[in-house]
Amino acid sequence: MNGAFHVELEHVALSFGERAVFGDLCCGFPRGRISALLGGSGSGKSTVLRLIGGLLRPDRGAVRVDGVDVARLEDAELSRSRRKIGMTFQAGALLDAMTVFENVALPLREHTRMPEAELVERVRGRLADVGLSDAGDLLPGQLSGGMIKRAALARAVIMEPEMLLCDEPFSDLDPLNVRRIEALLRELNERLGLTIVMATHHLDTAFSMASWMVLLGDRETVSGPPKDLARDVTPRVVEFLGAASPGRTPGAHP
Amino acid sequence: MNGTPLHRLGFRAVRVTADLGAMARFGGQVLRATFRPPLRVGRLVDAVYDVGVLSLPIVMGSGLAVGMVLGLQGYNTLVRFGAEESLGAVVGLSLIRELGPVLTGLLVTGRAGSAVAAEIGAMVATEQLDGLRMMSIDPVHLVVKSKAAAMLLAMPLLSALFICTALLGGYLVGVQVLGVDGGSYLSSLESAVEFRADVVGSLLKALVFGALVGLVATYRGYHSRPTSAGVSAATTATVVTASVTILVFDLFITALWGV
Repeated sequence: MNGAFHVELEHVALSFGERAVFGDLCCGFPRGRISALLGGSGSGKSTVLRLIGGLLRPDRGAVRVDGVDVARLEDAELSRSRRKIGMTFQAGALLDAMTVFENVALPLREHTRMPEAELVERVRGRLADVGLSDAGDLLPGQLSGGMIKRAALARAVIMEPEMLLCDEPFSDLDPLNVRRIEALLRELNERLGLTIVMATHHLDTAFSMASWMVLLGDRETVSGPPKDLARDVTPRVVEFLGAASPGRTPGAHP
Repeated sequence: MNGTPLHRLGFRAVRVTADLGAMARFGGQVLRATFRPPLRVGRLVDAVYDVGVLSLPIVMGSGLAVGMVLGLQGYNTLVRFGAEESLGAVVGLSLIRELGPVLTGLLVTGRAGSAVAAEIGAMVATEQLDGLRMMSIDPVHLVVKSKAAAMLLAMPLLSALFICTALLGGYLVGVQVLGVDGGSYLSSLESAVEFRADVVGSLLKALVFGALVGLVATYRGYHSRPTSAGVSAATTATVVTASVTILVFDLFITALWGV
């Protein structure tokens, strides 16, 4: 295993029934850095995150997190290993019978014996970080799509995990909140050394935040620092980055 | 699926057997989770309210109607033999031994069982259960066990209420409308019904039905496909499977235990 990588997918094959999602996927995500997972719709970005989280098991190959193949873990071991991982889902996945405050507090109540006053302070702090100070008493059904995304992020980082998996963290957000979430993710990455893997369509945000990129393709996967990807003249990379940023020529991104 | 009718029958038999095995394993999971702390009393109380209290109108309304029908039918039959004074015994034994637990089971399946399957199925479709797994929280422990336990606890109580309301319905029709003597109605009821054989047996029957409906509803919801069609299919399957299971188990319990 390459020690610089927190997560490595080695020769992963996965099919849903007749449909093959990955034939032989190999890629890695460096420890303590922000990585952007790019690719067209249906390319399998969310599936990669679910494989890393152990929510899906590959048909073949290994998914190593901290050197341990999560695809081979028993349920109890897998559950323990997830304590180090936070994850946000595309639709938020907040429990709709609980208020925003209760949702964010849930991991703390389940896994710690934190005094109530400290818990309340921690949850309020996280809600303030994502701009939801006044939304603690609301139910998820009363929130906008962007607010749900932000509440889900607050819940994912409340336990201060070692790794954060974000599925489209910037969709449904207005520009002000895109900046707010960018700042929060950067702060968590710098303060806690958090490894962040974000599946996103937001190329500008990806280029401004990520220090590592993985572009999923039909036949091959390209990965490397953003500057290398921006200079890449492989037709597949040029096509994807050009379609996302019309008028782009190789090397045009920072 | 292609193949001869025999192939199709075999394929279906294998699928049903696998499904039953998976349901039994899931039942074991729920049972283990039930006794693993924390007990989650608050969630259990909420679930008992959803399953039990919210089912009261339909169970009591139906009980009253069934009791009235039994009163009418029983009177019309008994009066031919001049035995209308035994109306209380006929209505009481029919309700306590058979109709109370079975009809309550079917009513609760339609109202609360389908709701439980739909709620859990919607949580699957909106990735809420996956969200819990990623927080290292067992969805069976947090979501499923309280709903299954609530069904088990509420069913005997609802069945008892159904029977009481139906006895009242039979009394209203028999005594107030058809002129049967009130004292005879109650004394024939009292002398015909044995507490241990009839009442306790009836409650145990309802307990078994509660466990079955709880298992089927939570299993179908938990294993539904993550789409709106999947939730709909899980809800339908819950009502069909649980209703048939109640009737089949009722036959076996009556045949083997004589309850």
